[in-house]
Amino acid sequence: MSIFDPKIVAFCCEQSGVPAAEMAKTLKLKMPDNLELVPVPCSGRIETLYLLKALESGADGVVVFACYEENCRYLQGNIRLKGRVGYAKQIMAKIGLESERLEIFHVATNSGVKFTEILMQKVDQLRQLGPNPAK
Amino acid sequence: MIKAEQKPFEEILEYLAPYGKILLSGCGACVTVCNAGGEKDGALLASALRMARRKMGKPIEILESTPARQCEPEFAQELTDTIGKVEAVLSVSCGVGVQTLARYFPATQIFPGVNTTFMGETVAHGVWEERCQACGNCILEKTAGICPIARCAKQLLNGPCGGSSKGKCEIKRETDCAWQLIYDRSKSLGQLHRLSAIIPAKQWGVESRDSGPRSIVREDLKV
Amino acid sequence: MYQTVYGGKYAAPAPINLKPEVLIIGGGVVGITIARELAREGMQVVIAENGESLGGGIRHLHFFYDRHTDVQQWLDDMIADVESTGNIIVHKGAQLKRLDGHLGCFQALIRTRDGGETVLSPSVLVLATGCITRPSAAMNGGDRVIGLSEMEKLLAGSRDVSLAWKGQPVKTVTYLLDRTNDDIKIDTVNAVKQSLILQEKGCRVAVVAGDLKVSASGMERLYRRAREKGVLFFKYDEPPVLSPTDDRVSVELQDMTILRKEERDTVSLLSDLVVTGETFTADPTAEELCRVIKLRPGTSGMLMDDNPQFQRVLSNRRGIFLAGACRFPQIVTESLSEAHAVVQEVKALLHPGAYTPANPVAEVDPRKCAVCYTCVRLCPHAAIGMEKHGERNVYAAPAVENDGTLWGAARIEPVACFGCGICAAECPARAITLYQ
Ligand code: SF4
Ligand code: SF4
Ligand code: SF4
Ligand code: SF4
Repeated sequence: MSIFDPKIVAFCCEQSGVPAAEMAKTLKLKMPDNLELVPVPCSGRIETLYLLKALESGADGVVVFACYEENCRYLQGNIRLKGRVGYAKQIMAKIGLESERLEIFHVATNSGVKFTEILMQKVDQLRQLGPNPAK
Repeated sequence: MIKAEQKPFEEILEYLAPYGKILLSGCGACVTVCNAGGEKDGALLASALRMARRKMGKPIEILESTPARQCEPEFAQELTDTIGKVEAVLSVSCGVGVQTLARYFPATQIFPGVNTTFMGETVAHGVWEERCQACGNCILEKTAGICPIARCAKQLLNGPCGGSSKGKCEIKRETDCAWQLIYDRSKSLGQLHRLSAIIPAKQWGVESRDSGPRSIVREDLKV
Repeated sequence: MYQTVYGGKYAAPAPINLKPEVLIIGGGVVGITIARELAREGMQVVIAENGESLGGGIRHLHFFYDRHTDVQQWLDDMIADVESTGNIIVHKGAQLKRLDGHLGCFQALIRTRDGGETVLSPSVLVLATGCITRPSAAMNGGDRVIGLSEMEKLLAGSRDVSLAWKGQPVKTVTYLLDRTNDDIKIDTVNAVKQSLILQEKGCRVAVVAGDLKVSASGMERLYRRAREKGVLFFKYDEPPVLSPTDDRVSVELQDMTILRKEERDTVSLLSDLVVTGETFTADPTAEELCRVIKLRPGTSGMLMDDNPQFQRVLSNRRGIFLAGACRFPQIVTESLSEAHAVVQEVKALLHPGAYTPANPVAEVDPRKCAVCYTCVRLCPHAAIGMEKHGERNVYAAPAVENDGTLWGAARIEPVACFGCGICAAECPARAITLYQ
């Protein structure tokens, strides 16, 4: 039996998530096989709809790598994102999707190791949850 | 403007159960502004419905469209071709827009996707409050611009009830007592004397919709 | 001006001309310094000073910690220079009442106290409104507890005579720091500086502090000199207790040189005067100014919070800079280096004579806009306004441009947009595209 290889869509803010991902790549750290990185200029760019669409079109889990609060280059981006993620989770609850399938993580530019750790943990977590039943 | 909020999700799922292909029609005006049925919120609902139905093993195809205002016949008619392709319509405009579609598309089921809640004002971003009940005979000139019909729980016309306490309403403690607001504003405008005039009881059966739906006809405008 | 082309096609924003004209709000030492340096570069500078004279908060300072210059003389020389420089105009008793436009074409309405109004159109704006020093809450010790600036005045007034307070000679002075302010170095700097002057006047001086903050240039040296000259330094964990005696104040604290807490003795410093830190608050006009300029207020009413992603002197709006104590209380050296930083930024921005948006910018499709104001409220950079829009015609017959009868639509000013995409993500009509 082949093990389930969950698909993760990771939105990465260009101020934090993207550099962290690049660092992880340079360090040749282990990354999930089934991963799609989506760079955004600011986590505030991520529409609620993007989060849902990712799940709708095949992701088993969605993560957002954003800057620490109070650290947003555009001052409010990650705060607005937080509200949207909360709203998306409400919608997911109505559909009957587990809240773990969507999560924000705060990283800094140099969080290469943390970046991959988070993703690998997500893979384990999603393996336990099983495939997204709504994709 | 008109304020609305999305209907409970299960309710929508339930009445859409028999259909495999629908149109989700939003409205580009009032319900866009209150984030209930504009293009963005329509798309969110459509995505959620598609996922929920896939999870149930009964996928649904959803077309999306957002006319600028669903309550004008011309905008409604723009949907003719699309509606011809679907089994039913889920309209996330207010109840008016749903009925406009119902009038123009007699052969198609039109379901409401939102609960039309009130006519209200944006008090802060993301916060809307009821302001007018369309009573048919506005008395705001007597009440310092604050409506006791829409904002007093008991619709009192001549001062607060005995339950008004510390400026709050006894029915809902977190709500301001409308009559406190009326008094305070009259006072600061130096218009307290206006409040001593008795406001006569409203002719609910004549002006309001108690005697059935109202209509406005302007003969001069008719074509 | 920038012309929009719709239908998914992106028209690269045209460059905007930048005239070398700068408006500075605040005529304190920071405003003056920036004005002089920019004027020297040939720019036209206007200073709008709220007070009746230039100088600002530094009027309360008499001694520098790092040089022997007389502060007031130095200031007066600078003011004389500013007032005689042809391309600097000074408005006194003047407030900024309205600000429209954006980088390159601000429209600033300045109102003076006599009711006169001037409309300026500077390319950039600099805020240097400073902060206000207030005596801190009364401490037990009566009128023998004074603030640092009161001591500064006392020292300036008795340069050649010995120190006296209310007719009584002052022989012992204790500085009690870090009770009012905890995270700024200005109190330490002033206390150490004053203690050296006092020491020279033959006073016995002690500095009692939670933490000495010597991270300003030359401060380590000054501190060492103070120690060598015999100023006593004490550290405390538990706040010292002040108790007035007949003619003095006793400052009682734990002797921290003993490591074991239980064995510590109480040291009592009998003092003729106790000097404490003062409270710094934002200028009372700061809140109104933030509203007018659409600037994000920082914590405790000061302007702009610190944000590691942001350079210090930048604000949330392109073309508006901040320097000096309007952000947080600081020593003159710090303020001056912020002033120089602003000068560099302004020069770099205005020097090419034009600005072309380089980052991605957002754009509203006016045919979809529901005029809900979401984007206007949420743009952190005040880049969006409502405008009459020639192309909007969903409600009316095909529109005639600029006939003033059309519905408005949101319009994003590409020059002011930072390209974060917050507006695009929130627009309930999905009318906004972020071009990358
Ligand atoms: S259909 Fe309803 S929501 Fe849409 S414009 Fe008409 S009144 Fe407003
Ligand atoms: S008095 Fe009637 S018309 Fe006027 S605001 Fe109140 S409910 Fe509306
Ligand atoms: S958020 Fe969208 S609909 Fe609302 S004003 Fe801005 S562009 Fe128009
Ligand atoms: S992209 Fe960001 S900076 Fe630009 S207009 Fe939108 S919210 Fe403002």
